[in-house]
Formats: sequence, C-alpha cells, structure tokens
Amino acid sequence: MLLKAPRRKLLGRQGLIGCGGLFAIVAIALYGLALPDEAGRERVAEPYAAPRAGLPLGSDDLGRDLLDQLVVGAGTSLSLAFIVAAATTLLAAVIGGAAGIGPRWLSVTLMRGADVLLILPELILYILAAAFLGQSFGVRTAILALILWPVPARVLRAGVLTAWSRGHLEVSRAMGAPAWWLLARHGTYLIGPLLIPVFVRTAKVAIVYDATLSFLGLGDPTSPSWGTTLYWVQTNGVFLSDAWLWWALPPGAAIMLTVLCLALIGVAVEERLNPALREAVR
Amino acid sequence: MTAVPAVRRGYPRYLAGRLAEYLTVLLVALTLNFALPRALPGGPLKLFGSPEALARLTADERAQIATEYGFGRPLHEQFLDYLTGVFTLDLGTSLTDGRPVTQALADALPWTLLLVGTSTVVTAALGVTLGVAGALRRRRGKGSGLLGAAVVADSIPQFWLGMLLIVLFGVKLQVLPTYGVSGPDGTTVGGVLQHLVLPVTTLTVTGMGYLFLYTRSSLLTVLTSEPVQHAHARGVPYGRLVRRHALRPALLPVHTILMLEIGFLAAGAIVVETVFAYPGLGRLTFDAITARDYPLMQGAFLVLTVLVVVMNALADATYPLLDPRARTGGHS
Amino acid sequence: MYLRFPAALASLALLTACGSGPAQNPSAPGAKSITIAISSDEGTLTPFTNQTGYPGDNLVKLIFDTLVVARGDDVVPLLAKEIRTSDNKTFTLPLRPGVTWHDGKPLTAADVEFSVGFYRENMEGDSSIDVRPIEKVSVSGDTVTMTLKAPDPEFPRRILADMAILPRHVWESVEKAGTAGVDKAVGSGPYKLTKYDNARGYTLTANSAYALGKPKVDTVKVAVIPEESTQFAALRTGEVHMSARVVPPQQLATLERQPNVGVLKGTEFASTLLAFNTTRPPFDRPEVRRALAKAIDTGDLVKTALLGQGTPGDPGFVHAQSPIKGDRLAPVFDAEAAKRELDALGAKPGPDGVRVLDGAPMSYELLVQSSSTDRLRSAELIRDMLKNAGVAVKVTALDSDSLDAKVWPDYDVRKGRNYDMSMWGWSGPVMLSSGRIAQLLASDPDDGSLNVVGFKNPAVDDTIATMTAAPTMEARTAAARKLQAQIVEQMPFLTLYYRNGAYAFRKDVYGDWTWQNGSGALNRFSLVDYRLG
Repeated sequence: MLLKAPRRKLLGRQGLIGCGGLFAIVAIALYGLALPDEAGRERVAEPYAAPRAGLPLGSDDLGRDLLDQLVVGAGTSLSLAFIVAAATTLLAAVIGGAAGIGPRWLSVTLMRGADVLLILPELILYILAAAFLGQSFGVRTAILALILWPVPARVLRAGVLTAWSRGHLEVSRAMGAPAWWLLARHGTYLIGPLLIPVFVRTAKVAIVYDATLSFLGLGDPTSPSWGTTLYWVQTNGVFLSDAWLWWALPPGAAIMLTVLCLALIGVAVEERLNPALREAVR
Repeated sequence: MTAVPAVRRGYPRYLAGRLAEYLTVLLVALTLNFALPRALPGGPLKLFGSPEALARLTADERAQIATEYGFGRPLHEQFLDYLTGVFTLDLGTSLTDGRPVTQALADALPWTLLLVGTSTVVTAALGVTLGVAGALRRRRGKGSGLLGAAVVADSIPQFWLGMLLIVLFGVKLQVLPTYGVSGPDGTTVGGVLQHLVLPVTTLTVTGMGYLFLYTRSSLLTVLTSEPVQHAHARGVPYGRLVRRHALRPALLPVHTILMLEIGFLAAGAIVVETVFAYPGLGRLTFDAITARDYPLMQGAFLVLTVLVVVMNALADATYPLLDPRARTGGHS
Repeated sequence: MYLRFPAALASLALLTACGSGPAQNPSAPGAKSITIAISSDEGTLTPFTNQTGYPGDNLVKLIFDTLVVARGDDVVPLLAKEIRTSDNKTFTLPLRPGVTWHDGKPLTAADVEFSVGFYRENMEGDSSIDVRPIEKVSVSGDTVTMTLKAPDPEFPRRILADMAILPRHVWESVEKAGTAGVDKAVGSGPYKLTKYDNARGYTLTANSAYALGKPKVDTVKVAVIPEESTQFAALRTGEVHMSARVVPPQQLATLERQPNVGVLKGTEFASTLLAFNTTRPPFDRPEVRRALAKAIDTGDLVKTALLGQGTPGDPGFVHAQSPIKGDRLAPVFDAEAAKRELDALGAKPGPDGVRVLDGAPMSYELLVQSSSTDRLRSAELIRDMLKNAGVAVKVTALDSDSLDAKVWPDYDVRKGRNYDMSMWGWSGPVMLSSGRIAQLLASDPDDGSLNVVGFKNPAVDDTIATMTAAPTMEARTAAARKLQAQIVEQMPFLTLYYRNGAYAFRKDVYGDWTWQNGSGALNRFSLVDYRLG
C-alpha cells in the first residue's frame, strides 16, 4: 500500500523485524498453497494424537495433521486479511477523502450512506450473502469489506477536514491549487498515518471474523483457515486439556504474529512518511 | 470545505441541518429494517411447532396461522403497521413468546447499557491513556512493549478470550461466576458486579488495541504539526506542550471513533453476551434473527438504529465544540 | 436499579481485587434447590408456547400432566386411573379423584373434553397435539371415553402420553394460543411456574398439593445458557447442577473424571441421516443410491465423529430399541462392492479420478448444518469415503434455516427441494410410532409429510398402507419389518447413526436422575416420587 521504495535505513529496527516476520509468514503461506489438496484433510493418525516425530503438532479430532492445517490455513487467512484490508482501506480513503474535500452534497450523501451501512445488522447481511451468493472466498471478502469501511471512512473524513485547514494548505488553495493535487502532494503524509491503523485493524478483524462466524453457527467450519482451527479448538474443549499447547496456541500465535508484524511495519512506515517525527520533540 | 466562500452559520443552524439529514437516514434504515428480515431464507412459521408437527399442517392452516399472527398479511399493510408502530412506540408482540416487543427490549436494554457502558468507559480510559503513553515514549522500550501488548490483545477473538477467562477464573480458580447477570439469591449489587467482571474484561481487552493505535498515531501526527513545533521552538516546556497544544487536536479523531464504538458495541456484544449468557440486546437480536421473529427483529434493529444515529449525531454535534474550525465548514 | 450503577461502578475495581467468589451453593445431597441449564429461551412454558421439543416439552410436562405416561417400555396411567380398550378404537379413561389445578380448582372430565377440542382448534405450538384421529369424546361423571376414526394400538403412547391437559377455566378465554402468557401456565403437574424472567430464566416450585406423588426438589431453577462450553464450565463450578445438553463426546471423558459430576447415559432415538434428493438424477436411481451408501462406513463415523458415543445407523432406519420392535439389520458398508456396483453402472473414472456417469462427472454437493459439530465432521468424513469410491463431494456448510429452506422449504414437501445430498436428522419422537415412520416415505404428500427426499415407490406405499391400517401392534411390527427391508433395498436415505444420550449433573447436589427412553434424564420420574398404585 503505502510502502513505496522502502529504504532500509528509514524502516528502522522495528520495521525490519516486522518485514522479516511478515516475509516469513507469507513464505509459509505460499508453501501451503503449493501443498497437495489432501494436506491437512487426510487422516494420518489417531484422533487427538500428541506431537511426535513426523507429526510435530499432533492431530485434531479426526486424526488429521495439525501442522499441515496451520500451513494450509495460512494461505486462506492471509489472503483474506490482505484483500479485505486493502479493499477496506481503499474504500475508506476514497470515500472519507471525497467526503472531506468534496462539495457538501457529496459529503452528506456519502457520510449518511455510511451511517445506513453502520446501522444495518451485519449478521443479517452475512446470512443473506451466504444463503443467496454462497460462501465462496470472494463473497466472504466482499461482505467483510462492505461491513468494515464505514467507521474508518468517518475517521478519515475527520482527519482530512483537520488537515485541510492547515495553514500551508489554505495558502496553496488560495493560490488556486486544485484539490486533487493538494491531496496527492500534502495529504499523503497527513492522512497516511491514519490509514495505517485502519489497515492493521481490518486485517486482524478479517481473520478473527472468520472464526467468530463459525462460533455463531453462521460460517463454514470445513474450509481450512486459522479461524476455523480456533473454532474447532473451542468446540473440542481443548482449553481444559493439555492439547491447548499444540492445538490452540499455534494458530492463535500465528494470528498475533501476523498482526504484530503488520503493526510494526505500519509504525515504521508512519515514521518514514512523517520525517519530522525523527527529530520530533522527545 | 467548498470552493465558494464560507458563510458563517451559527451553531443552531448547523444542528438543524444535521437533524434533517439524520431523519433521512432514519427513514432509510427503518425501511431496510423492515425489508431485510423478510428477505432471510425461512420464516417465522417454525416458531409454531417442531418441523415434524408443522409438516402435517395443510395450506389453509398455514395461511390461517400466518394471518392470525400478522406475518402472512400483505407486505404494504405490514409496513404501514410497522411505521405507525414506530411512531406510537407500539412495536407489536414477539412471535416467540407473545411478550410486547417494547417489553422485551426494555428488559434487555439496561443489561446491554450496563455491559457496554462499563466496557466503553474502561476501554476508553485505558486505550487513550496507554495510547498517549505509547506515543510519548515511542522510542523507548516501554513504548514498543505497549504497542506489542496492544496489538496482541487486539488480535484475540472475543469468544476465545471469553472461554479462556471462564476456564481460568471460573473453573480453575473458582473466583468469578461464569454466566448470567446475578447469583441464585436474586439481584444484588455485588452479584451483578461480579457477573460483570469477565464480560467487561473480554470487551475491554479486545477493544482497547484499536483505540490505542489510533490515539498513538493521532498524537504523533499532531506532535509534528507546525503549531506544536512552533510552540516547541518557543521553548514551551514539554509537559505543557503536550497538555496545552497537542492533546486536544489529537483526540478529535479518537472522539469520533469512540462515539461510533458505543453505538456499535451494543450490536457487537452479541458474541460476549452469548459466551457469558448475558441477557442483553445483542443476544436478543441474535435470537430474534435465528427465530425469524419479525416484530422482535424490527424492534431490536430500531433500538440499534436509534443508538447508532444518536451517537453519530452526538459525535457530529460535539465535534464543533471541540474543533471550532469545523463549525464554519472547515475555514477558520 | 439504574440509580445504583454509578456506585456500582466505583466498587467494581475493589471487588475484582478482592476476588470474592461466586456464591457457592451450600446444599448437600438432597438439595432443596437445583439449577438446570438449557440452551435457549422456551417462551412461557405452556403447551403452545415452548420453543423446542427437547427440552421445552420436558419442562412443560413438569407443569402440565397427561392422561398416561411412558415409563420404561410401557405406558402407564397418570391422570387416568386406567386405560380400557377392547378394540384399540374406543378408549375408556376413568380419571383419578382428588386432582387439582395449581390454582386449587378441581380437575374434571370436562377439562379433558375441553383440551381435545382446544387442540383441534389450535394446531400451532410445539407441544400441541394432532387430535384429528379422535372422532368423538364423551364424558360421563369422572370417565372420559374417546372414540377413534380407525383402530390404533399406538394411540396411548402417540397421543395420550403427549397431550397435556389444560384447565378449561383458564384456557377457554384464550384466542391466540401461540402467544399465551405466563398466567396461562397453570397445570395440574408436580411443579408450578412461579417466575419467568428473560434475564434469569424460570423458577419452578414444587406443587405441595400434588395428588399423584411427591416432588423431590423444592425449587427447580432453569437458566438459559446458549453456549455449550459455558454450560459445562458452569456445571464444573457448581453454578448449575444439571445440563439439559447432551455432553459432547469430546468433553465426556474430562467431565466423568470430575469428582462431583455424574453422567447419566442411555439410548436416544434421534437419528442422523444422509438424505439423497431422489427427484434429481442420478439419485433417482436406487442402484446409484445403494452403491453410494455402500461406500460409507457408518461404524467409522460413530468411532471418529462421535468418539464412540453413538450407535451406527440401522440401514432400515428403525432403531433396535424403538417400541416398534423392528429387525436389527446388518450395516451395508462394503467399499469394494460400492466400487464394483459403480463400475457395473458404467461409471468409469475420468482423467481426474472422478467417475463419469451418463456423461456427467459424479461430482455433488453435500449440505451440512454449520451449527452441528458432529454433522460437520461426518460430512467431511463422508467426502473422504466417497472420494475413495471415485465420487467427488463438495461440502457446503449453511446455517440451519438456510439449509432447511433448500431441503424442506416451509416444512412442506409439496414445495419441492433443491439439493443433491444433505446431512439430515429426525428427532426422537419420529422413531416412536409407525405412523411417523410412514410419513418419511409415503409418496402422497398428505401422508408423507416428512418425505423430504421426495421418495416415490408403489411397493413401499403398499407396505405403508398395510402398516397404518393394522389394528394390532403385532401386525404393525410385521409390516414395519417389511418396510425396513424395502428401505435397505431402495435406500432413499442412509441412516448414519443415533447419538447416545449422556447428561451431566452434580451428584453432590442432586443425584436422583433416572433415564426414560424418549425423554432422556429431564423427565418427571427424575424429579417426582410417584405413588401411582
């Protein structure tokens, strides 16, 4: 997204750690995509097997390899997270930006439209989509992006409004600079930092939402993802047994790690976009 | 905000304009609240017996039930009834248990407000404070630690954290109750509070990260803005700089988020209310959806609609108070 | 209450710090008060407003009595003193003297007559009874006589044992039975509904004037806890003393190891099926259905998806212990035979390993309820088993309403169906009478109102006609056995398994739970000491 020409020096230590971590996770996800279809679906051991040689994370309640499920699930969860986060951030930026600098009628229409979407019960939207459009990956992604954009759009509009009234922007405007140019030239570093939490947060929400819908009986607990594994962890009462160490912890840690890496990169990019931060008041 | 020179409008006019907009939103939402439940697959017939018992009903008997309980009448009649009902506060009777919908909502609302209100206060206090701390100490170890902790807490699914807390504090340590709103001896303040601890903790921990990240990033932006830099250059002491010049503008977007979250949380508490068997609005809504109880669904959505619109309007109405520039349409 | 909130908030932190525990129930064995956890609200607990058959109907039957009751394998008189019949067509039921309603008024034969009339007028409601087989009810003194349209040996079990008797003086003013309030939950049963509040559930209090026996517990509280894991956590902490949910197989071993927890197990008649849409090719061909059924190892499903907590399905549907007393048939699973039969049908594997039948690849969708863990897991296992036989299956999880809308739109088989295969299930009562089993297969939608697979076969229709017209139980059993054989041959659906019942309770608080086939642990005999002499 905002990561154009990442210069190592500028990313800093945190950013490097984040990038490295994310790179590793993406590599694992890619490896997962390359695995044969049966991986994680084939019954290779007895149910509830503890970790042993050849079965590093043990097996689930059907005797299927949990490590394979983790690796295969990485692909689904990461692509869901990235696509939803990118779509939502883009929608929020465009709509929030347009509402901030556009004419009043546009601003009103967009923001009140966002209100209507906020009000709509998201569960109903989800049931409707699943029933009439199916539970394919595309539908899930689209619905999530649709549900998630209104809040960040409002925040961004507020940010744009504040930025717009900055002195040097007012001067440029008075001298006849077009709004789009101003936005591209100056808006980026003013609005950019606001987009970062949106992206990180949305990526996380997308992963977690998957599991939550299954929990409420509205998802598809047969499609492999980290969220799905968490759902089965919960239905199997794994928390009450020793298996939480190899069944519950890895997918949970994977989600946290992904979000943490994203956040670290986000913070690094934020500082890069905002060079003044480097010399900022301590 | 517009290219034409801004006309200075007074605060009352600003409010009146906004009010008209919100009424439009309300009307659109009301229509959708009526239409969406009826678009769901299946219908309320299943409330009138087990599937095996319903199967034996003839077409006439089905039609009779549908007419008698209202969901079989022509849609425009139902819609008119519903609109009249909204304005006279007579929302009909629940198809599930025959209670007036207003009664069902009135029973659930206080619990939701208690749960959501408490969590919002705690979440806001912790999220904003830590966010400010995180921004001010971003270079030090503590700042990074805070960031990490916030992100980790933020990425735990609610149902998961809820179960973990139940197992830990309920089953293993036996110090806190696991479900419901009060103990076996009726409603006591102590009992209600004890039953509030785990759900509120779940909502707070999972909701804090968001506020933390926003506050942190918003404050960082403001700290590097010209007015603050100028003040810094003038030699304003650091503490005073933050308090006087940076905090207020930095908290503007946070304020927007917070207001939205409150309206939103009432609907979003479905998961927590399910895990802890908390009889609030979220659970009521979810049950109404799964039961296809049209009147109850409409009522529940109406409350959510009003909550969100009011919080939204409140956010808009108070925004200019915090930021005088917005009052004039963006020009100072 | 609202005013107290601010003060309450202030002391929140304090309380947490002190870590004061949940109010521990001090009760020893022989407790005066127990709490039962159920999963969803059950409305006002009248026969027309409870939401589920189990456990809703079980709770209703603590408040309302019936004329007779199933006990063990028999049907014994309850409000009636005895059941007299010579031809299974006219049933004479003298009532017990001295029975009163919860409000003190005496229960009379007029109430029974009124009840039958009321059920005839009001078909809605989960515990509402289909009284159409009753032609006439007459009253003379304390004796009620019911005459049926046709002889029915199963009448006492199927209708009388289910029909809650309503107080005429309370119910005659009710117009919309489906919205009857708590004030209408006045019965003659062992417990009175004394409080209902959606925040804290129900309070049932022992009916001290109960003439038929002595309630064993003073107060039965019923709490609504939607989430399964929370219910069992609350059982472990002692906040609830019995969970009306079947213990999930994955948690059974852990719970049984708990020192104060007991688990009561028994046979359940609820069935889980694999339904074939017999109106859609190629499932309209019995030989295809048979071949697919042979590829599915029901024993493995029970072993793996239920961890052994179930019984593999009888291919002829009827549970061996059902009152119909069907045959015990051998499972049809034979993976090699399945492949042979598919080969014989001309379904040769294509390049991707998926067989091609009549020019179309054998690739189908299997619907499954996303809220049922054992069905989800079974669906995944079936996908693997069919893949082995060269048939591709795509498992689609849907919320149960969306699934019903595809398989059984409006619960009306006349409205058709839109699926290939679906995980399906019938509740226990369907297994209890031959009439219900007939409804699964009869081709006429009036008789076959449960025929969700759209099955049509003249020979089966003949057997069903013979069975439902048979005046004696022996004749019905004989016809049912023939029907079983026809089900195996036609395979309109494959009966996968019957889940075992297992209910957990706190034995340190109350341990007198007894099993009753058809209603599990939550039944009248668990909570009442009957003196039915």
